[in-house]
Amino acid sequence: MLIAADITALVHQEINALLAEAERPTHPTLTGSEFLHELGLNSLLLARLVIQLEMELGVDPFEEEYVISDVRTVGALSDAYVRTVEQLAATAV
Amino acid sequence: MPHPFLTRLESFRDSEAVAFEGRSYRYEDLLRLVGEWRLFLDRYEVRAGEVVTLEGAYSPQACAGLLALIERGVVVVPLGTLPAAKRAEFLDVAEVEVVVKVDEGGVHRCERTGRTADHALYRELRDAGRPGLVLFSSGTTGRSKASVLDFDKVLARYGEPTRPSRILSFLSLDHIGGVNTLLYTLSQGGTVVTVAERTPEAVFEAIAEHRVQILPTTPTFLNMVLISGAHERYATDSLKLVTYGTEPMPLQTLRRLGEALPGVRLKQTYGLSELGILPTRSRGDDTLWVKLGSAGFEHRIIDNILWIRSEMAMLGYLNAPAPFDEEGFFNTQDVVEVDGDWVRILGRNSEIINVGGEKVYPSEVESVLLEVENIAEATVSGRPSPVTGMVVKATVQLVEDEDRRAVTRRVREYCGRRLEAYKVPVLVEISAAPQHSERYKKIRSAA
Repeated sequence: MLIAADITALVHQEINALLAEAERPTHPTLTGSEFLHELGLNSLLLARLVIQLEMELGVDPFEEEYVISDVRTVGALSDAYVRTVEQLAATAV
Repeated sequence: MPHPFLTRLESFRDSEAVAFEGRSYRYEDLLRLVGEWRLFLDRYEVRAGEVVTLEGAYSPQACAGLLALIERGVVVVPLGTLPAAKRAEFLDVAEVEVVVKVDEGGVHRCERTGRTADHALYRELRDAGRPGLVLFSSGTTGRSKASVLDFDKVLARYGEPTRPSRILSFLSLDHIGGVNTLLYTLSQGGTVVTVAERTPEAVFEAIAEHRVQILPTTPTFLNMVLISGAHERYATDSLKLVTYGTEPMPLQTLRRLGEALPGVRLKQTYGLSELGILPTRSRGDDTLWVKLGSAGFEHRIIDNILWIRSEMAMLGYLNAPAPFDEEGFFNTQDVVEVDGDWVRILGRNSEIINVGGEKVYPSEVESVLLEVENIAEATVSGRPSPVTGMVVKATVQLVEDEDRRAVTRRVREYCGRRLEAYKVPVLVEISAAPQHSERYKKIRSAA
């Protein structure tokens, strides 16, 4: 099973991959405290990030449990995925 | 002799008309810019009835240009920044005779295309001696549909000046909402506040700086405002009303917004470039039920589909049959629920994909996908997104096996050059199966 650190690393990696593709400045060392709006993610890029993460992790936290407009930081976004993956693993046991 | 609309603006002489990039333009200043445009149009011999683009970012010069072109009696084709192929298509469909561009800094240029516009709808406007407006929307066959409106009918919607407000212009002038915000605000002697970029930060900074009272916007933008927290960093005490339209509003976003901006009235609007913007009244701030206004509009609901008759409805499309019934009602294709006088708009009963308020017809994207190397067949559908409501998903069949990531990258690169950003597929899936039903109709089931 993916552990929290892997998921967080994946979120950071996907954010930078999207920014690079959109020819926007990337952030090689994300700590989690960064605000999403400060990274240069517009609504289309953010929509793509959510889809990309769902493809990689097989979960969409915003389907039921979380509301996207409550998520402000990279860390909060990673947490939403970590918790959703953990919940899924717990129910599968 | 000035157009009656400009005569009205003269009466607001000393009031602030436009606030843009820290500069304030009074009505007197705006009318001076209109005067400069008159000389410019004279110099290039732009005449009534000609089909003329107005291209460039939103600016006081562009606003004055629009007013001068209306006064001149031309058919205005406002265009935003477009990929080259799209722009060429629009000039072709609209039979544009004169191109007018407003550069950053307000300098304008004029060129003749050598075309002659002779569409029956243009002849109708010319015979009536009325100015026109052409607005584009995505088209089912891959070509965008061009609605032709009578500009005098659009202007006739605005009553006597009673409520001058300070309104932030969020949508650009190539959108019915942007045209409506500008002209309605000016008709009332109010102030249009414009921003160079439509980010939550820039918009909320402008709200604080220019004491904006009304913010007309979209659910996707409001979602991004909440994520950014921009409303917490700037004063919003001037804000009285936030209106939202162009796409379905998620109830969660509406509720969060109500909590984030207490005391601000939240109101849904409903408009189509074919019909104009309907006046509406929301049942409450936390509900999606609205009452559709009757001044200038009538509506009926047939089999849960909303049909509307509008006094300012378009004359027709330049490149498609006019979809009005014999009584002049237009099929909006929007599915609605009804509770007495209240209606709730559930979304389009069609293949249109609504990405953050922008409409995407699958066939337009499919025809571009078929130009991509190694793609044999393509089907485009919508996929729900918590951010933009929907995103574009492409399911493709390949000629030869290829890694999905590589295909996705090539699709995005190619489509990014040919299509507006919101039309570029976010998700590309590879299908081994043919994408037709047994009756050879495309299968576009949403994900």
